[in-house]
Amino acid sequence: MMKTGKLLLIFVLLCTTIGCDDIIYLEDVEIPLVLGLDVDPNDPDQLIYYSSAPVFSKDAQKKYTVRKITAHSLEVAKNKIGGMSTGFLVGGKLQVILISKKLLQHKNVFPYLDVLYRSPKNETKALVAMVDGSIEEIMNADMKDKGILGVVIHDIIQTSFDQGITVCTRLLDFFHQMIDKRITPNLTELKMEDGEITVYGTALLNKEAKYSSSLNILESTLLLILRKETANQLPLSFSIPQDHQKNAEINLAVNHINYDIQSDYRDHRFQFTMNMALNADISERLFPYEIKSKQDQLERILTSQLDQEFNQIIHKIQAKQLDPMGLGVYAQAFQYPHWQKVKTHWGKELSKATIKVKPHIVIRDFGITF
Amino acid sequence: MKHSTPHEEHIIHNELAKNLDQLKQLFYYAPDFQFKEITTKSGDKALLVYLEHIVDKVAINEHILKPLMYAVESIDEMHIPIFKTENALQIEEVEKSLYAGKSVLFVEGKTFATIFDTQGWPQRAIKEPQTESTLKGAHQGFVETAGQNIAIVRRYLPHRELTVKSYEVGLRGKTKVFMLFLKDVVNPEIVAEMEDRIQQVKTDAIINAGQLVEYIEDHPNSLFPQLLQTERPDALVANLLQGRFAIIVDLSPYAIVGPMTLTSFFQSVDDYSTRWVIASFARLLRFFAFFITITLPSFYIAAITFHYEILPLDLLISIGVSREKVPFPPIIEAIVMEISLEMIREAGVRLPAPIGQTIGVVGGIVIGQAAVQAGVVSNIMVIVVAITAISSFIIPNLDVSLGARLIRFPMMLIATIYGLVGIAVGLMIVFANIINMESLGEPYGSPFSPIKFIDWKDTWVRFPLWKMDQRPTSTNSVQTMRQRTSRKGRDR
Amino acid sequence: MSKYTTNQLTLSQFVIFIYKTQIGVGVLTLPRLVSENANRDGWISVILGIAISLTVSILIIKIMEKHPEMTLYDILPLYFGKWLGRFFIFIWIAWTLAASTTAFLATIFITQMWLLPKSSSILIGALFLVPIYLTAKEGVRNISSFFQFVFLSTIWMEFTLLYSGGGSQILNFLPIGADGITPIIKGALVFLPSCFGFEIALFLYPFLKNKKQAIKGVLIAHALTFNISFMLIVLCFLKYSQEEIQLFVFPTLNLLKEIQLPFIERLEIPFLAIYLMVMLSTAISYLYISLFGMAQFTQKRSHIPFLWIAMVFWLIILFSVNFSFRHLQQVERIWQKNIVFIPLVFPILLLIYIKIHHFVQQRRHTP
Repeated sequence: MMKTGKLLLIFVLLCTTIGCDDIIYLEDVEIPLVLGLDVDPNDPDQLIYYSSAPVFSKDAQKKYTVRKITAHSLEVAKNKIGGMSTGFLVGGKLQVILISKKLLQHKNVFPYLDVLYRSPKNETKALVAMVDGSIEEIMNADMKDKGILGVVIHDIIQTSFDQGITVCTRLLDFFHQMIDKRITPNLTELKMEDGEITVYGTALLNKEAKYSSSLNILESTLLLILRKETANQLPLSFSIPQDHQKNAEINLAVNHINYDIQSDYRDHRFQFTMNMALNADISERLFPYEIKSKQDQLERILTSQLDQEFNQIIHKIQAKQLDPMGLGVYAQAFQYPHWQKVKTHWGKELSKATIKVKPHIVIRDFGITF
Repeated sequence: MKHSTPHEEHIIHNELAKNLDQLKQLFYYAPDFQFKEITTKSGDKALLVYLEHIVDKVAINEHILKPLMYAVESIDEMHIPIFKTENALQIEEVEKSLYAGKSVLFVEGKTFATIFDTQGWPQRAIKEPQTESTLKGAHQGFVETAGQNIAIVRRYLPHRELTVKSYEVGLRGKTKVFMLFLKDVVNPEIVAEMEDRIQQVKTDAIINAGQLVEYIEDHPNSLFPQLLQTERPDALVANLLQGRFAIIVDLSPYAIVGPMTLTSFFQSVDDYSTRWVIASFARLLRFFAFFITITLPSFYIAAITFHYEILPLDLLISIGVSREKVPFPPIIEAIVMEISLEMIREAGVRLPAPIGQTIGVVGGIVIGQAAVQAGVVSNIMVIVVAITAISSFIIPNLDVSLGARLIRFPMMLIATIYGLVGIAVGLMIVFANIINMESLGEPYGSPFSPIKFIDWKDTWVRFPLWKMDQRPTSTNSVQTMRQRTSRKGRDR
Repeated sequence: MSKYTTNQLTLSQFVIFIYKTQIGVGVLTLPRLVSENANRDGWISVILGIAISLTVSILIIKIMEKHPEMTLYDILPLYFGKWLGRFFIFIWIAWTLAASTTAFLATIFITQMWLLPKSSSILIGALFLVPIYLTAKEGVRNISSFFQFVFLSTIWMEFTLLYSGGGSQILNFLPIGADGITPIIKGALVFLPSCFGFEIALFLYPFLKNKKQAIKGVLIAHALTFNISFMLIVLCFLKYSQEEIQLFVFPTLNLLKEIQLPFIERLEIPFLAIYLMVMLSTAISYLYISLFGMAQFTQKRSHIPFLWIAMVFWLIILFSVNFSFRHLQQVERIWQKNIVFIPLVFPILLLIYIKIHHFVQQRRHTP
């Protein structure tokens, strides 16, 4: 023990003399929660980077700072921001990454995010979202009654995903969608409307990480169903033609879906058949209906309407040569020899494929009134 | 009997006056030395000597003087109604007996003296043990008289296998030390080893059991105790039954129990009298508290100086806001707080209870509120310190608790230099030391490292008593079975 | 009586000694290595690899059974004569020292990369040397007690890994065996170094209290190793596509990165800090075997002087080489290509040699 004690003493002395360079006191760091990427209208080679970090000082008026930097890459931007911030800049708590639609239309944005995947200190659970409009508008949005910008946007996207109206793409999911050949990337789409940050649906990107198409809130739900992301209750909205009124709305909440997905390869093209039985509850009905006696009829009407909607969205996706549903997974798993040949241009191949979605709605619950 | 040739002056004369002179010389600086010359009923001249305050005066008056002066015809130990008497031939023996609280009778014309067992020193009444209070255990603690303590133990174990061996330790103090064990259970090698260690102690005096422990422990330099010191007779008896030995030290209300492992310090007498599920929960809580005591402050330092990413965002922001005002780095903040906490604790221990409460209030206000408001420390640090303090008090054994509290400080230092890596390596160092320790031949880290599943029944958790048929293997007991089926056919 | 009876091991100590030598740095890169070679069928490679490793281990026990009171260091001179025997002993000392050095340096490197990127490796190395010294200076029994402590305090990690299972895609495993058998075998060969540590039985066997349990012990150790490796591979493959895994340097840590608990985030950071214990255990185990050989080689009673030499040697390496990922990769490659034969092939050859030896001896005695 005495020997150990001496050893430890020598050791502690050694350490204190050398010192450790990794010490950063929490109050001395600037922790960006939001990172924004936008095009620079003046110089096409440059990007404009925004970052927003909470301010710990109680004397400060605003709870967070917003910084704007023009630079070639994120690493350069980081160094530049480091020059003007009050503390070291570290990315360990990143909550949201916002990318403007313009940038996504012009550039492959994936390489610009490289630094976030490379350093182990960075947070890869940050949510990635596309902004239709300018980033600056969102960064300078009025948050007086809401809180810290990064937390607010993160919560908005997370809540929207939980309600089933958009996808939830984290940084590591984005990496997965870019690298995995069986799927194409898709991001949450945000928009500033009347000074409020609003979820607008889902942005579909192609394999070059360029913007290709958008899905609105209703279509996003269908995409989630197609992707089997059914952990949360998903809302479905139908408008049924009626005698007196033109359109009568009925809203369903889908609780559980049983899938049966078949894949095949015939006539030089892939064939997918997705049978799904949707167990749904009625959450709202805006017209009178004899549900006690005519439940089967209602289910038939709803099923056929859902069938149509699915066909529309699949048509839309196929037209853009995308695969946000990840049907490539089935192609690889069950049609491996054919998949091997087409895996480099899967989106294009899928656009030729026959995709049949056969939903079947079963209403289980009406709430406490019929 | 002395082996040196008896010097003329040291043998007992047949003249009383000479003996008295000798004694007066010896006890020149002992004003409590008393003597009484009497003439017995038979007409002999006699001299009774004793030291005034450590004898039972009533016994001397009633049972020695009265019979001698009024009843007894011949002076003979057979006729004195005192239970234990012996004869001495030399002054040295007389001197020793006088110091031990006995009284000595010289008779004119006899070359020996009679020693009467009349000790009567001030004694404390048996009280509830203060350091190990329990809810459901016995409310009887050891006192400073070894004889009484052995008596209490005998009440629990009236059995012939309960062996008591006695030793005398200390060149001046001559403290009586008794080793108690169950002869058919305990491992004789351990007893022999312990006996050897006790006899090796050559020091002035043993004032307290804690001192003896330091002489006979395996690793006195370690922060953790390897021998249990307990005030509780029931705890001692329980340990005897597990196959351990106990040492009762005269003049000390603490008994020593061994061999112990680290985990056995986490047991408390209450565990066996509360319901076993609840006792098991308490056990888990204690181990958790031990871990928290060692690591929580260092974890706080590591988290906010190196790895702030591991904190959830909301917590991070609130820590950041409260840290912003603090002018010191976290390590200084933590050390200031921990040291002031230790000072409050130490101050509270030494002070009488009414003032002790004041210390608690003052300390609570200073640490809890004023320091935070003044911006000297952050409020999260206050929470950390408070939780650490509470955790350290959950550990039932005082010595282990103090050891764990001390380990915090090097852990905090190492966390400042290396962050979480430092904490992990610090834990490795602590446990490597524990594993390299032995308590009388048994690994100190048992039953966790080395793993002994059979002993887990009474470490993490406490199994129902009727399931614990064997004594713990860590005691190396010769007789391993503790009981036979006690609940046959019911709920086994 | 044997000279090893003072330091006897129970079955659980024997098992955990082997297990802790097997599991180490390899676990962090394992899914990538296997995926690079065997693709989707990596899980078959793991089964195959563990089977090979187990077979060799049982062969090792068979060798040791012939001389139950001897370590390999005692057996070698017996069969090969003084000089050739000493040569083989030297090889084993060198191999275990190299293995220990690699484990030590890799641990430092990973710590530096994930936890303390700006600290100097010498500082981290100096820290690690303290627990290494405290444990390696003891005998086999205390070392294995230490491993048991490490085992108990890291056993929760397996369960946290399971917590990362959300969003998994079982179809990632299909189609099975579509690329033929060669990649699977390649994957198994790559997986084998992660099983290394079973050869420790060559030295531990005489310490084992109940020799009959040796095979059982080896089986349990392999079951534990298999459990971890297989679970990791399956979890990683469920979660990530093959393309992804091959881009991650340490896929296991990426897996942990996804876990988010309400009270703690970024689980890979505390996880890796605690996992240091496991990684250093591998280094300690090999180091002790090496020092034990050195002491026997020079016929010294204590191995502690060699421990000091080894520690100084490591510090010198840290001073002189600026360790980087390239070195790690080189070592990884050497490991996979060249060194396989020492723990794997040597015991097999030794067994054959012993059989022939006995055969010849018998012929000579019964003409």
